[in-house]
Amino acid sequence: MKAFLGFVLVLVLVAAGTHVATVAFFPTFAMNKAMERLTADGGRVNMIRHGGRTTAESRAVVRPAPDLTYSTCVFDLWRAPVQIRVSPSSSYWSLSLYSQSSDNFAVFNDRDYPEGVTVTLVREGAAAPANAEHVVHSPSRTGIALVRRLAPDAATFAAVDAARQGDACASLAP
Amino acid sequence: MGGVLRFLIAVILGGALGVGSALYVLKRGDSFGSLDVGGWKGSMSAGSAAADPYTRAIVAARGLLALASTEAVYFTRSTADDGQPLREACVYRVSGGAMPGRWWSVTAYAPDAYLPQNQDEALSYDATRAGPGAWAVLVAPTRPTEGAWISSKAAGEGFSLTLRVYHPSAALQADPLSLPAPRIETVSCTGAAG
Repeated sequence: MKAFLGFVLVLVLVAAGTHVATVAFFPTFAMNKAMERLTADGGRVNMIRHGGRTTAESRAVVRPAPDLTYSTCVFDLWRAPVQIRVSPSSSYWSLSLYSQSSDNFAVFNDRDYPEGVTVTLVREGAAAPANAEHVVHSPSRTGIALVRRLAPDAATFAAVDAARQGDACASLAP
Repeated sequence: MGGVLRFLIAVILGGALGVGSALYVLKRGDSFGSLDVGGWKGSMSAGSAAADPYTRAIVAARGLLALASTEAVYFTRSTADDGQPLREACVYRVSGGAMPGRWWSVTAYAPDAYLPQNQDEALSYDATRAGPGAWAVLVAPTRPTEGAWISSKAAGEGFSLTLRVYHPSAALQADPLSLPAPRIETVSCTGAAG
């Protein structure tokens, strides 16, 4: 009887612990998988990638919106801050920054920055470069910068695609 | 020796139970948030560091890279007004009025949380097509003879619809239950189950 109760106690404690740990670490796991997929074309980070029109084949991230077009930059602040430039386009756009644990820690959009925006992303606790614009401190060394632009039809997509060629994401490392 | 073996079996079983139960909670079809507005489920803390661990994990599993609620709010529905799960074999009429935000859309997703694997180019319906005021769209596996259409071809059993409202009004942010929730009426179904 004592052995059986010990068995049940260990089972329950381990089950509770792994349940809590799985829930706690799932966001980081999902972000790591997403960053892997988004850099599958050679593994380069700190580089802007423009997606095509969102279709049924778009499977980099769950629940993509077909009315939006996405540009991504997987950032790594290990060596230096990263500068991200988003050019304006005629419809809605936003730049959202996500930490490695999936938190959306900053958003810039066309309503607040109709002329576009240049953001300097710095590791938490690190000094920002002199004269840097719109400094944002990232809670994690790596993460994802995501630019959404409204493009519900082919004509809007063509205009948006031309506008976003002015976007950039680059490390400020010398 | 028997005691060590029992301990190892308990650890292995407990680990499997813990991971399995967590993944079940994160990936089950109706886990889209604690808010329920006319059957549309959501969370105002999606994307936020302040969200509780379950909300953060559920968002990561079923809506990774969601925006914070000041930028966009998300509501997802996996049942019709009659309470039945959404099925590819049925035709639904989704209707609503002006949404309290700058732009909105309704999109169909297969149970795996990706877009249905079809080439119909009718995966969503949005404010640019609906215009101001009342709107209605049919969700069906084949194109209707008239009216707006979201294709549910290849969406399978238990698909879902996600409503996005970008730049939600201050009133909606303050009281998400004030959302004028779109209706989902079942028009017809084919096959054995109703």
